[in-house]
Amino acid sequence: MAAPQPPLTPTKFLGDDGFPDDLVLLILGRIPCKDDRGNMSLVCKAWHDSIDRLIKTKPVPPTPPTLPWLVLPAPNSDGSFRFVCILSGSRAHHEHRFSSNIPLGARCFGSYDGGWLFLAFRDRHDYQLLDIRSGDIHSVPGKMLIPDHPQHRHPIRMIIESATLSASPDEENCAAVFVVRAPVPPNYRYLATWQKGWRCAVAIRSPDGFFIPDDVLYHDESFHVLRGDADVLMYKPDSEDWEKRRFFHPGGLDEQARSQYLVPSRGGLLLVVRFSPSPDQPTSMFKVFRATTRPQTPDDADFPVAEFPWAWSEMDTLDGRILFVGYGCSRSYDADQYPGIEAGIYFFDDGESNDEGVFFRDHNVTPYPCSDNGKYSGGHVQSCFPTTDPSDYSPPAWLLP
Amino acid sequence: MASEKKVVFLRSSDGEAFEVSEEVISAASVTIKGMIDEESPSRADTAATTTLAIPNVTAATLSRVLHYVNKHFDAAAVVGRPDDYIFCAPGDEHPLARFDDDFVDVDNDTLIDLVHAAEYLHIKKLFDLTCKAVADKLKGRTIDQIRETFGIVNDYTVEEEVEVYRENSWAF
Repeated sequence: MAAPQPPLTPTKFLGDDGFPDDLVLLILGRIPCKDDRGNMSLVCKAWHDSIDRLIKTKPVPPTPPTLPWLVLPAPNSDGSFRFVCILSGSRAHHEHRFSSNIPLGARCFGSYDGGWLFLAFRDRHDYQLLDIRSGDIHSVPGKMLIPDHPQHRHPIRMIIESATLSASPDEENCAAVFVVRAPVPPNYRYLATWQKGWRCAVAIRSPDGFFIPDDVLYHDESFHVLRGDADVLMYKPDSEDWEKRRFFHPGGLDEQARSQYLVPSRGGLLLVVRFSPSPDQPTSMFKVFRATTRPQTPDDADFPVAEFPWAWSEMDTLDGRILFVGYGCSRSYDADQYPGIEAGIYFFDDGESNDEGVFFRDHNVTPYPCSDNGKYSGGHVQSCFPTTDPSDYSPPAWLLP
Repeated sequence: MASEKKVVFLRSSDGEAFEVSEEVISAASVTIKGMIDEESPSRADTAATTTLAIPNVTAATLSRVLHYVNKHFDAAAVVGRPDDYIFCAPGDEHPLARFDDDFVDVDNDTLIDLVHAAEYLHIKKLFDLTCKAVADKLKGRTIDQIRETFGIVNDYTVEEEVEVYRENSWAF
């Protein structure tokens, strides 16, 4: 169908005296994004005055709390980003006034509540934490200290893959844990911790040695590090204390598991496993497990309760949750606050993180495909976000409210 | 009688009469069902057909409304009839999703008239559909796009615009 022609005279809608308030309220109730409502009052004075009068005199349906926006590299890979808003029908807020606060060509590798983004740049080795709203920047070092002798540590360059924070970068006690790649054999992959004001991050080792961390998350006053075997190590930076929680995981890790995320939800911890039929095929399914303590009986000979006091219990329903998964920045919301939005799992294309080549080649960087974005709901994957081109500078990211 | 379907005529504000099955329109419109129920005692055992005046709705709008009503509320026509296949695409959540999308893909004045008609006639599904379509013209649109869609000229000065920015609440 041809697009309707723009009208020559104003539509008899907002700002028209004959348009009933009740209808405006019913339509506003179907516009849950604050920015959409804000834009409406900037259309013209008559619209502003109508909305203003309604807010002051009628029960205008409130907007629900903001959901994360998808920060999506623009098509044509021109270095810029678009913000995609689920509450706006998964459309982009084009030309959003904050999108230009992200420097062209930056790589986004993490997020924190309040509109913070972790950024990396190709031509410099340090990192930035950007407050998208104010444009304020906190510098994050590009090096970590790594022990080369029991009494000595030396600084080496680190490439941060994912990051999680304990508090807002505006807070004095803000601490971070990074999943890091560094050109140091034999492991190449490390955990590092950093606190606000430190000039270097510091490599940390768990008591049982090196391992490959799958995801990191700050939850319940300690950093949680998810291992490939689904055990969780908890780390408190102040005391440098480690606590290891071994999990009985009857669901096991399938060969088709593409990635796994820790998600804080309703005071507890979820393990969300993402599947695809093969590494180069898009996401096909998710499984969600809840951290539970195991009863003493019946015991399992292979996984005795004494050794594995925790279990990942598979959930057959999300129980009204809307989950957003991303390394270091997963979040959970309740669907009953968002009329018209079904429970489900929103995900983006964080592919490439297993390609060692991407981070150590100085040129010919493999593009981020940016294509495997969507929502998993009711047993199906929906590609609900706008499509974009592969990006040579950044994968997508969440912008957390 | 089961074999003879009762019909009613609806007369638009501009005097045009439209025939529609009484059963179908009663299922669709709370307002018209109420009118028919009021008329019923005087209609009993007469062969005369009823004509109801719909003073708030023009012929152009009423004919669109009845097209919608016949698609959605005529049980025999809703699903599975061979000529409906063009309205169904694989993956459509609802067999009439495509029909609905096309139905509201109209100019603004027509759409707003449909909102008013659906409200007056109390056809909830149509009201939801048309309100959502209006909201979709506003969601995720830039201010300039909204102005263009609704035929509005910007009458703000830059200073006034900045002031409204400041007083509004925003997602971030």
